Amino acid sequence: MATVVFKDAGVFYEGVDLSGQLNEVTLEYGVEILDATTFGQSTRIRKGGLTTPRASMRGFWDADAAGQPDVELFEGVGVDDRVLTLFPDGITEGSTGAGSGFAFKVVAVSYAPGGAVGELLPFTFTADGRGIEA
Amino acid sequence: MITRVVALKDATVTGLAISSCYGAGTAFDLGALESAQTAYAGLHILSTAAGANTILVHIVSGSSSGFTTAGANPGTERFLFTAVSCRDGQWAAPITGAFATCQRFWRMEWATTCGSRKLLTWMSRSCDV
Repeated sequence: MATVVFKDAGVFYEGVDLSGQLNEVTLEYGVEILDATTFGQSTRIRKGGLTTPRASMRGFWDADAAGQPDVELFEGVGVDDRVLTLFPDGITEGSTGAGSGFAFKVVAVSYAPGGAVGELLPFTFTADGRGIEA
Repeated sequence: MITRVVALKDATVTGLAISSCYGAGTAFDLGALESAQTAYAGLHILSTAAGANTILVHIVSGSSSGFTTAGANPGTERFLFTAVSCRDGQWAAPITGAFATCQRFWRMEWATTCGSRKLLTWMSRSCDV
């Protein structure tokens, strides 16, 4: 069984490479489960509904003028159709297996810099899929 | 809507060379677009260049890996991104198959006004990519 040590994620949000700022990232690709139970059934009948992609990440705050992660994250909250691309284990050109990734158009839900005294200043960032293809 | 993507050009660490005012990435066999399949493409421009340099990126498909800029296999432009001079993220207009000819090879091409850029280009298909 192949396993992966999670150390080489690539995270790209609009014009910023966030990979060097982050130490946690999670993609939640879920679906709304609809209840289709009718009278006469002895168990709940479930049906898959609409998908709900979400990305959550945590990292160290950086207001570097050249890299602009803070500016991009701050200004992205509530803005539709930002492009978010995630590579779980490095980037391999032309690969549909290892080194491939995920992408979706998102609207940022929250950007939260802040933490306890004495720590490296952290932030969290959460973005939901827009559900838009074009 | 989320899609699995394949990197066509990874210049996220080492930017495109400053002398490459026109260039192309490696061609990859990702399969032709069949009926009812949709393909997507995205672009992250991760650095700026001095001056008012712009970069124009597009993705072409071809019948073999041996693309030529003119001649037997110049490829067919499938995705065209907006020319930009600053950092940006772009999601190209999706395309739907089937192709008239079996063009299963894909590559990224770019034109700049001579400025080094860090960028990432990807594409995906709604089915088996």
